[in-house]
Amino acid sequence: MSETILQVKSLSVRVEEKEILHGVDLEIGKGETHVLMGPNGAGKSTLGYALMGNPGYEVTGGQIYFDGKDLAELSVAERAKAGLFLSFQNPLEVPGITLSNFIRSALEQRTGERIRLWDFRKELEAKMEILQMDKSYAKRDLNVGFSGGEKKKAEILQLLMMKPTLAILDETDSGLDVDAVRTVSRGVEEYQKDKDGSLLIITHSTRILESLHVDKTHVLVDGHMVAEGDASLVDEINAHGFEQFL
Amino acid sequence: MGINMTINRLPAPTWNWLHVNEAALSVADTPAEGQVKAETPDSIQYYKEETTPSCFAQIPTGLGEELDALFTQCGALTRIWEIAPGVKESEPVRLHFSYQDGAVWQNRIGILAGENSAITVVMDFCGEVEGFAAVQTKIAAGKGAKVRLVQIQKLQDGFTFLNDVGTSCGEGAQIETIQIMLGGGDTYMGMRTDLGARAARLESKIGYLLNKKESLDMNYLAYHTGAKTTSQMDVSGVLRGESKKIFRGTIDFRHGSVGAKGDEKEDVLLLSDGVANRTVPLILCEEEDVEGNHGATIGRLDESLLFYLSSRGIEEKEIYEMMARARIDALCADIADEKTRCLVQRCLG
Repeated sequence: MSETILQVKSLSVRVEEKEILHGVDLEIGKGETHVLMGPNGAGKSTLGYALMGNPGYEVTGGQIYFDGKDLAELSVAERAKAGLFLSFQNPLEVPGITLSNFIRSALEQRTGERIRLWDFRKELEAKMEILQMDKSYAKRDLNVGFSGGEKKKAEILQLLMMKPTLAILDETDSGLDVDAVRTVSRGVEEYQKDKDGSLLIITHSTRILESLHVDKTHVLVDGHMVAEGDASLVDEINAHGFEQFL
Repeated sequence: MGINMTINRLPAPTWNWLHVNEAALSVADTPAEGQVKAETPDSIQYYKEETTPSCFAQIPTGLGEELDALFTQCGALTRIWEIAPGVKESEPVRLHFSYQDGAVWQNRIGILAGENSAITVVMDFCGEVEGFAAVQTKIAAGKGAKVRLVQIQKLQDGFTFLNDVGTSCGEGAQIETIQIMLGGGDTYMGMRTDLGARAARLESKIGYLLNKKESLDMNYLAYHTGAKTTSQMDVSGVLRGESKKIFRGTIDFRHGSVGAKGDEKEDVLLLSDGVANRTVPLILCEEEDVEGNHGATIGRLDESLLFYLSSRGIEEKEIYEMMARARIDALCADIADEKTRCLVQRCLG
């Protein structure tokens, strides 16, 4: 295995009064693509939120190390600055802040330096072209009035611009038609190519994986990691479903 | 000689102990005629009247009769911008009010829009000084006329500012107002719109950023007497420090306003514990076939929104700043005139 970027040890997470994750272990190496699969309600998104530090998700046990740092000591924004990225399943609408201004502000916050508008615009437009996004979206308020597909593309656009070390994609392919999944996959490929980035893809479908090289597959059921394997495990789940793990 | 006034009266008073029924104000001196720098497009006529023309005298305003009486007592001139019937001017009339230290000023403005005309008036009230100013704007919009009024206020601590508007609408006339308040010691704003003719329409948008010990007292009234008239009031603002705000929003459906619709919405972001926010939405109804709505969102940012924005590496303090600015930016985007948009951006810093 390559150099470890994320190490999750015996992670337990509670949401409100309910324990959702029970002692989950996970290790992701630099540049690797991992897939997290599982039936509805297994706790896949909970793991993503807990890694990103959502205050509504209380870590009741275990540790998370990211790039050698203990994430328990970092706020949500600090985790993002450290190179962690979560693509949301249902991105929120933010009236009054354009997509372009939002990405620029986030980049400036991250680096602590002003970004030259001309360079930023050029890069943004190039990434939008990869994602087949109309340039007018850059000037529109973040996710306001975007279709489901455009919201997901806007998430991948942020991923491409922010170039994190590890990206967690939470059901990025859900609700997308075949062409949109292909476009989003292209964006994800571009991310890996660009930065040797690591990926944790949370999904219960496999369309987004078709053009990606998968290093490892994990199966989560009822908050427990019940199986682990290579890319062939994805095909096995496709053929037989999750029943064998229940 | 001090002048005591009661302004911004709620048309249907509530419990006195709530302290929202009206605002009391004392003016130390009789205000003098203030300076106005005007830029007027050729198609629009400008003139002054020493006595208020009857078309304006009959228009009541948001701050109320006692302010009207003060203007009369001062012998205030009415500066009138008139657009002829059928003329549609895309270039705005620009009125700059630049206040000097210690000023005690008043200005009375009239906008007369002939049938099927279109006029935009942009006013900016600026000054990094202490003082007092009262500006009263009355709009008489003829049948089918479209009047846009944009007002930008950037004043500072120690300045008391009264911004009073009254409008009357002919059949199918449209009044659109955007008022952006970015600073001032004590500000009193009011607007009364009489939607007395069929299908007349009001769209009023107000945005404010209050800081330190600034206060903003507002009284907005839409009187529907014409059939199928519509009114929309959207108020959006941010309170910081120990600032205070009252918004009184009244939609009054009177006899004859069959099929009328009125809607008022308020969205207030509270950024510190020391702020005082009061909202008094009021819908009065004498007619059955009408639709009135009011809604208010008051509080801090939604947790899920905070998480989403933080997950991109933006610190909480910066998120609040962004969201505060976003409220004004959203309002600014509705201003067609680029010069005015730039002015707002400059005021925001």
